[in-house]
Amino acid sequence: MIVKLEVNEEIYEVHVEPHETLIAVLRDKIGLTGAKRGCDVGGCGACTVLLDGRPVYSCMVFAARAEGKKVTTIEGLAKDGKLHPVQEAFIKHGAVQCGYCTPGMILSAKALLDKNLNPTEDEVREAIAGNLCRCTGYVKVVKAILAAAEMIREGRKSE
Amino acid sequence: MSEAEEYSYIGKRVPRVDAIWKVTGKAEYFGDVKLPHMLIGKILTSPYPHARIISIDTSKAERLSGVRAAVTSKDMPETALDFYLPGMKGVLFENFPLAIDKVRFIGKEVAAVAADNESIAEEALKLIDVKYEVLEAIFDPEQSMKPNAPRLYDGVENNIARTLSKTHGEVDKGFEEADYIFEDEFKTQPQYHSAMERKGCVCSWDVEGNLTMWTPTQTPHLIRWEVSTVLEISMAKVRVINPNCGGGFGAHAHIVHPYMIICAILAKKAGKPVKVEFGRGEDFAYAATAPPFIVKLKSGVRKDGKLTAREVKMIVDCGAHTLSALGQMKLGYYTACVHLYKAPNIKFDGYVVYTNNPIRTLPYRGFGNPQVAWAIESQMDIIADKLGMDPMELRLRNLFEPGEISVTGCKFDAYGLPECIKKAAETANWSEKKREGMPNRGIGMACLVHISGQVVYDSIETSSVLLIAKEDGSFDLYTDCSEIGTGIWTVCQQIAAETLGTRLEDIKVTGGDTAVGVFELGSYASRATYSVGNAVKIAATDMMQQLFEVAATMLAAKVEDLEAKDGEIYVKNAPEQKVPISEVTYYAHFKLGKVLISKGIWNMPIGPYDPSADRWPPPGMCTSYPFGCQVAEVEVDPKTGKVELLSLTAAHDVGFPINLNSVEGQIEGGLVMGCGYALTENLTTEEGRVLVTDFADYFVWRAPDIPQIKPIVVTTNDSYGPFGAKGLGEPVLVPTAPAIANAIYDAIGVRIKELPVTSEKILKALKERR
Repeated sequence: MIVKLEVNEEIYEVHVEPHETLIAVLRDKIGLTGAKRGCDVGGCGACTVLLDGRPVYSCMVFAARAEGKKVTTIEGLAKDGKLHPVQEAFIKHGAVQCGYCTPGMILSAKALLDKNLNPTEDEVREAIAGNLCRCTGYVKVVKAILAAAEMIREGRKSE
Repeated sequence: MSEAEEYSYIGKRVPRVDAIWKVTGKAEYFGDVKLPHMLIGKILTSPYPHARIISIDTSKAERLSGVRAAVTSKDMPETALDFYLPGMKGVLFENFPLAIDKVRFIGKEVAAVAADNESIAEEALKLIDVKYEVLEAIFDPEQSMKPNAPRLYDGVENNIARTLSKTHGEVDKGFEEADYIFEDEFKTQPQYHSAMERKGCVCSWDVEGNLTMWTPTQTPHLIRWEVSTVLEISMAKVRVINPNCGGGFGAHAHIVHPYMIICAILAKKAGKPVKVEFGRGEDFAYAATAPPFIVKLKSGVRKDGKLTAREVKMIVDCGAHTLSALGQMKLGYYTACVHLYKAPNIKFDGYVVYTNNPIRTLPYRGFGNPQVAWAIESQMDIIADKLGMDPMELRLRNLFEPGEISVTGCKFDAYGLPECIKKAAETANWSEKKREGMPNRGIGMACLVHISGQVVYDSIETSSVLLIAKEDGSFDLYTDCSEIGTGIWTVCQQIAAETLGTRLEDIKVTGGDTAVGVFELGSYASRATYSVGNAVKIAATDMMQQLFEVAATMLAAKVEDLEAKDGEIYVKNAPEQKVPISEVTYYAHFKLGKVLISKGIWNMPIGPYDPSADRWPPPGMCTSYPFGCQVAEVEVDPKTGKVELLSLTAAHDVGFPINLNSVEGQIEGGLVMGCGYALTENLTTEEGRVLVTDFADYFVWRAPDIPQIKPIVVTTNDSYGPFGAKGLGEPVLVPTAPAIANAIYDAIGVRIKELPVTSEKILKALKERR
């Protein structure tokens, strides 16, 4: 079947099989490989994307079910060549190591900050509970997300 | 000696060179590689732990539409997979990519196909008809050593793959001098690396017979060496491209995996590129783990706490192939047994034993040290308890003297262990907490010594890099050390920029492609910052000299009077006389006809090993020994056995921290991996079958689970390391498990000697005590 997917504010008309997952379509048919395949069973979070602003495991969502919703992948986060504050904070605070979990981690963080700009440390940890990371021990990831929240708050104040 | 304030980039929180790629999703991993007409390869594995292969029929699979190639052992090269480095050949045994006549564990590769897509490949595997004669299997390593146990190999008596014995001093006399003798047995579990990226590779042959392989690896040059040897083609015809590597931890160190050769042969036979990418379940079932150890430890101690003798017996289950089990046993002996505390009399007997367990004993962060430190550091607390001594005090009484030479000839250039213990204890309020003794709360400590650079094989220990000046004063730095996430490329950039007196952004680090760089052992054995860093420093110093010679002509000054900073070369006593490096490189190339290229090579400067004395000349088995001390604080619920980890304090002697973000990142990540090793992670098997299929069955710690973490960086300025730095990647994992177990004992008086320390084990021990 042909489905119309809105990914990062672009419309794609793609032929998909009914059982095809969103991660497969994003990576193999649309060419957006930022979402990573880590387990294919919703256990690691490397494939996290946003669906209408909410983080989902794209390996657990049929592509056809994403029709009519806004899909945001890591490639859609930077605007006009400017990084999103979460991306900037990940760089500045050393929250990146091997990088395989990073796109999913950043999207989970963005979803949190979009609805809560003053999260506690525990809220940040809960927001990324579905994203496994073997390298960092999460400490700098949590620090970066809290710093990003502050950057966004400060930015809004000065506007 | 050196201080961070003196430097422009060293010791600073410099952002990583690869971070921008990774936060934007643009970093390419092997799974993102897509070549025209690429096929998908799938591997059929043995369902039996021990069986003879009677026949394999692939004809039905080959007739399936969309199948482009099917292979069995008949299609494979005759050369076994092995380490083909000088001095290392023969380490492995009967390790062929596809099983020839027997399978010795569930999961051994038997046949493979390449097809147009994954579902056709999976369908084809079902059509391969393999007839087996099932044989009796053995799973317990100690039972496996008995004469009546089923044999895995003809001619291998009692399934003992390797033995190793060492003696120093007079052990019997040492035990006679002891006031107390302690005998305990400790066990560790197979721990899965849990790299977020799954294993696999892409292989493609060109018309000239050159093979290109994209694969996540910690050691691209070793993979090339081994692949070219096995396939019997020249090194120049094999190009290994390591895109980004989604986590190493040893899973991608050193060894050429069977799937790499299988994929290469499939691609050759099909005449098209082939990708083999494991599913997570397959990755678990591939059972690449830290080998499980049994450590039987007998220690003699005087009333004052001084160790008088140690007798250690290790039994390492290597599954059906030795792989790195012998090396890990050796390193466990040389680190935790011999060099953590001073025991003047030591006897060591080690056995690497074959079983039909589905274990591939790959390197694992710490390479045998965590397994043996688990035993040594658990028993230190048993000893302290018996003597009524503070466990910290017991440890302090058994340290080496500064400058002392160990029984194997090791001399610690920078000995930061005493300071690590002091700082960790201070930060964790050790003495106060010990006095308080709150009910069900406990505090525990464990220490470590490790190496910077591999020493357990009598082989090469080399890094090399190339530095090329561009016409505008920027530089290309080529290293083939894999960037597996540790931040080594950024370390290279910092060291080059600092040494050259130029700006960070003027150094472009390139690597991960054997067609571009020069020989590099790779990113493992806690060697990268130490060894590659030294090679970069040598190359940059040479380049500096070349730049100064040109600048001296331009400034009409003497070379020895010149200095460089922020991209400019100037006369020391007359800084107004200066020239930008960009003009120097331009002038050199176009006016003087000089191509400014430098190279750096670092061969670890240690002397020859004397096997009869089990000794190296000082500084010993390596030049730069990392140390550390970790303190854990726990609360245990005696009703459920549940352990709440309250805090972890970790003081590590890193020599000198080149990049503070990366140093802390290693400590934090290693600690959390250690939490899993201590309490939750176990690649459980039953009758030779891996029971874990996804992360729901294998508990890697998540963000809400982690305790408060306090990393402490101890600076000791090692004389051999670049800017005083030594290794860190592996040490961070080593003492975490015993520190936590010691805290649990302190909390509720229960001593668990087998990892992981689960609630079930604690509860059972509590019940038995009542």
